[in-house]
Amino acid sequence: MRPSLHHCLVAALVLAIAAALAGLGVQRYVSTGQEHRSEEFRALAAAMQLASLLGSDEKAAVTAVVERERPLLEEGGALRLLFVRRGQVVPGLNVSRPASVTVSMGGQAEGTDDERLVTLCAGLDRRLAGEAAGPSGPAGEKDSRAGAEAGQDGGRGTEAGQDGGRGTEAGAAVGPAGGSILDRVDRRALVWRQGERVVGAWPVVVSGRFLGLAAAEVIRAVPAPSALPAAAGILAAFLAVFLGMMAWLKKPLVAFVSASVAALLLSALLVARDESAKADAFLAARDSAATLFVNRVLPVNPAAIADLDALWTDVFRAPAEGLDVVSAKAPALGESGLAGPTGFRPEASPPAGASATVDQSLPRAQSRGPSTMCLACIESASVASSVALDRAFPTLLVLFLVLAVCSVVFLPLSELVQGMVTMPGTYAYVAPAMAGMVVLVLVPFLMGVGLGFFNTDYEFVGMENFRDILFPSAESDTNFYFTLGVTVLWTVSNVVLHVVIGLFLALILVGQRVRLRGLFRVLLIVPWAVPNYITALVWKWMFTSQMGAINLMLEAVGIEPVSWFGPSFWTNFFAALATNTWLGFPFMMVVSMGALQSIPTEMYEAADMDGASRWQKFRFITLPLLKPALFPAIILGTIWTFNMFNIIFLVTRGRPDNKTNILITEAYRFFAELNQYGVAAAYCVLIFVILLLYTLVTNRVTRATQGAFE
Amino acid sequence: MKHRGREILAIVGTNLFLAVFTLLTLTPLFYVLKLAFSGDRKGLATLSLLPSSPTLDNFVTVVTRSERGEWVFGHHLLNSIVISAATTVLGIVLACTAAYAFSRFKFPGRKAGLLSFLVSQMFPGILMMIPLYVVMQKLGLLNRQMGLILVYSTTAIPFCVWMLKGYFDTIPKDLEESAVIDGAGKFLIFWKIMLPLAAPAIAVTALFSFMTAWNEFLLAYTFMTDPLAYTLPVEIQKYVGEEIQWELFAAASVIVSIPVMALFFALQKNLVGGLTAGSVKG
Repeated sequence: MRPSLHHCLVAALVLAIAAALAGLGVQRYVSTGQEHRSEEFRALAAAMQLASLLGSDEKAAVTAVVERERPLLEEGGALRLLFVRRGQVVPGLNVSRPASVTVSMGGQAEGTDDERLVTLCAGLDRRLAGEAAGPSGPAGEKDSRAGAEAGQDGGRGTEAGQDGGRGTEAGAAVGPAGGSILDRVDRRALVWRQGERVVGAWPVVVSGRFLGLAAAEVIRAVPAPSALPAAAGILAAFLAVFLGMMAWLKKPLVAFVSASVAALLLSALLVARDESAKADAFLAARDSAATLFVNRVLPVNPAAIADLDALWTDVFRAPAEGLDVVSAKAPALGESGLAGPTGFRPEASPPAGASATVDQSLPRAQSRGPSTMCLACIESASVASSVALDRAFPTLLVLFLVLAVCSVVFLPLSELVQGMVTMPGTYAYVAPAMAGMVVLVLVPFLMGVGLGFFNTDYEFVGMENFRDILFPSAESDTNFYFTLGVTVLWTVSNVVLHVVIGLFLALILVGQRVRLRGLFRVLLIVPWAVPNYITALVWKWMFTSQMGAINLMLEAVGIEPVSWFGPSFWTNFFAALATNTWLGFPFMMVVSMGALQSIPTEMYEAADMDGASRWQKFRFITLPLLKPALFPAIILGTIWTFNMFNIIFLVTRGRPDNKTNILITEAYRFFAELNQYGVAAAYCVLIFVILLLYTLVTNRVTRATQGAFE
Repeated sequence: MKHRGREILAIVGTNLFLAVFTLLTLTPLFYVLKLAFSGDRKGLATLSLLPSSPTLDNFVTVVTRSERGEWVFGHHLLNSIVISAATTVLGIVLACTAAYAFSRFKFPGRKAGLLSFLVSQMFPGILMMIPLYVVMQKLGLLNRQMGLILVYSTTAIPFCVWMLKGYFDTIPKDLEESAVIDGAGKFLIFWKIMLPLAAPAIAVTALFSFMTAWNEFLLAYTFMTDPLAYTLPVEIQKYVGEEIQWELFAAASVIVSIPVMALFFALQKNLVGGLTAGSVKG
C-alpha cells in the first residue's frame, strides 16, 4: 500500500522542520565561530595554566571555581584567556571535565562582567607588580627553566583543574575593583575597552623572569539577526513548491526533492547575505580595536612586543588566510613603539611614519585611527565578501547534506507516518524507548560526528581531521594503523579466549559428571558481577612489581619477577589481556550454557545409537546448534571489546609510549590529553565505521540476526 | 568393573579441575578481601590469603568519610541507590513495552528500529560525552538525578530490548489468541499474559539496568558538579587518585560490589535462560 498524499505531506513537513532546525543550528554554530561552552573551556584551561605558572610556590593567583548554573556572561557572550609564551600561544590544559565554569574574580568585584574582567586583570597586574622584584628580564632568560616549569605544571594542572573544580577557594590574589579602565593602562597591564570588546593583556613575570603574556578578551556576540523570519520564509517556499509539484506530478519523491532544492537555494541566498553583513561588522570591529591596541602598547622590549604581536594575531584570529598579515607588520610596530619617548601615544596622534603609509594606502583606516596593524585588516570590500563565502560554504555544505539525507529517508518516513495514523497503539509501545534513544543517544552521536569536522577552536575544517589520521605525516607521534593493528589483536585475542574458555566451562558444567553444579556456576559468574573498573584496578594492583600477587607467585615457583608495566609492549599487553579475559569469559559461558541446555538430549541419544564418537557429537550436533546463540553473542562481544575503554585505560594507560592504546583510548588521549576534540571525534567516527562494516559483513555471512526480523 | 573405575576417575578429575579453576578465578577477589581487612602493609607482600593483622579499620574509614560536616559516603550511597533503583524501573518499563511491540506487531519501521538499537551499541562513548553534556544542559538536566537516570536507562535499553524481544518470541502465540477470543485488549494481554510469562527475562533486564547505573563512573562524574551529588563509583576513584590507598580502595570496592553480587546470585538462575531463550528457538 502506497502512502497517500497527506501522509507524504506530513512526512515532508516533519523533514522540512528537521532540516530547518538542523540548518539553523549549524548556521548558528558556524557563524558564531566558537561556541560559548568552548570559550568557557578555554578560559578555564588558560586560567589554570596561568595559575600553575604563577603559583608554583604559592597558591594560585587565579582560581577557577566551578559554580552551578551561573553563566560566565549572558547568553552568547564569551571570555577568552590566553597564555602566550615566546610568541606562541601555550595550548590549553587538559580539561577533561566539562562543567559550567566561571573564573572567580575575587568576589569583591561589582558591576558588569566586563568590569569584573577588568578587575581581574588589574588585580593580577597589581600582584605581578608586587611580586616581580626586578624589571622584566630580557626574553633570552626565560628559556629552559620556564619551559621545564610549564611542562611540569601542565601535568599537575590536570589535577589542579579537578581539585579547583571541587570548589576550593584559592584566589585571594585578585584585588577589588581598580579604578577606571583607562587608569589601568600602565606599565604592566594593558586593559582596554572597545565597543563590544574588552581586552586585557599582561606580562607574566615570575621571580623577575618574564615568562610571557596572558591575555583576556570578552567577546560580546554580535546579536544574530533573528533566524525565525528566514526559517519561516524557507518553510513557506518549501511547502509551496512541494504542494505545487504534488498537484502537478503526483509523485511524492520528485515533489520533495524539488521543494528541497528550492529551499536550499533560498537558504543559500540568505546565508550568504547574512555572512557578508557579519564579515563587514567583524572587520570594522577588528580595525578599531587594533588601532586602540597599537596606540596603547608599551614598549617593554622588542621581544615582548613581538610576543604581543603574536598574541594579537591569535586574539583577533583572521577569518581567512588573506587577512592574516598582522604578524608580517610586527617589525614596524616594534620600531615605532620603541621610538616613542614614553611608549604611549594618545589615540588621536599616531606616529608620523605609520600614518603616512596609512594615508596613502587606506583612507578608511585613517578615519578610525591609523596604525600599521590596520593596514592589512581592511583591504577592500572583496575581502569581506570572500570571508562571507568562506563562512557560508560549510553551512551550505551541511545544509545540502541534511537535505540529501532527508530525501533518502522521505519515502520510509511517509510509510512510517501512514503506520502511525493507521495503528497508533502499536507505536505507543515503542515511542517512549525510541524518544529516549533519539534525544540521548542519536542526537549526541550526530553532534559528535559533526564535531569531527571542526578543529580545536571549533572552526569548520572539513575533512582535515580525517586526513591527518588516515594519512599520518612522518612527524606525528602516533599512527592510526599501528593502533588499529593493536586493537584488532586485542579484540581477536580477547574474544577467542572468552569463547574458548566460556564454551569449555559450559560443556563441563552441563555435563553429567559435575557435582555441585549450582555452586560452580555461581562462583564462575562472579567476575562478571564485579564492576569492571574495580576489576581493572584490582588486576593492576596484582601486576604491580613490588607487592603484586602475580610477581609473588612467580617468585614462589622460582621465576624472575617481571616488571609488567615496564618498557615492554608484550608484558603490558598481557596484563590488560589477562584482566579482560578474566572479566569476559563468564558472559560467553552463560550464553553457551543456555544454548547447550536447550539442545534436546534425544539428538545425542540418536547419535549414540549411530555410534558417533564424542568429537563427532560435538562437531555435528553441539556446534551447529550453538551457532544461533553464539554468533550474536560473539558479535556483541567483539563490539564491546573493541570499545573496552576501562580496562586499557585503567590497567596500562597506553604504556609504553601509547603503544598499548586501542583506538578508543587513543581517541580519549586526543580528547583529554591533547585537547583536540575534533581529532578525537574523527577517531570515534572511524571506530564506528569499522564496527559497522564488521557487523554488516559478519551478519551477512553468519545470518546472526536473521531470525530476529521474521 | 574397569569401566566403572574409569568413570569415577573422570568424575573426580572433572570436579577437581573445576574446583582448581574456580579457585584461580576467585584469587583476585581473595586478595581484595585480604587487602580490605589488612591493618598494616607488612603482610601485603606475601602470598598468604589471610591478612596479617585483621581489622575493620579500612571499612570504618570508608563508611564514615565526611567532608565539611557532611557525611559524604552516606550521600553517595543514597544517590547510588536512588539512581539505580529508578533506572531499573524506568529501564524495565521502556524495554518491556518496546520489546513487546517489536516481538508481536508488524509495522513500518520495525526492522529499522531494531537495527538502530544494535547500531547504537557501536557508538563510542567518548564521542558522546560533550554532545550529551550539551543536550543535558539544554534540557536542564545537569546536576539532577533525573538526568543520570534517563541517560542510564537509554544506555541499557538496546541490550535489554534485544534480549526481551528474543524471550517474547519464544512465548507461543496461542495464549494471546485465546485471550483475544475472550475479549482481552492489547494492553491487557501484555500486562496479564506476556509480562508474567517473561518474568525470568525481565529479571535479567532489571539486573542489567541496575548494573549499568550502579557501576557507571564517568558520566556521574561529569554531569554532577556538586560533590555531594556523586555516586559510589566516584567515591571509589577518590582512593586511587594521586596517592593510591589500596587498602581503602579494596574496602570501598567490597562495599560497592556487595549489592551487585547479591543481585547476581539472586537472579543467576534466570540469567542462563533469559539471555539465550530467543536466539536458540530455531
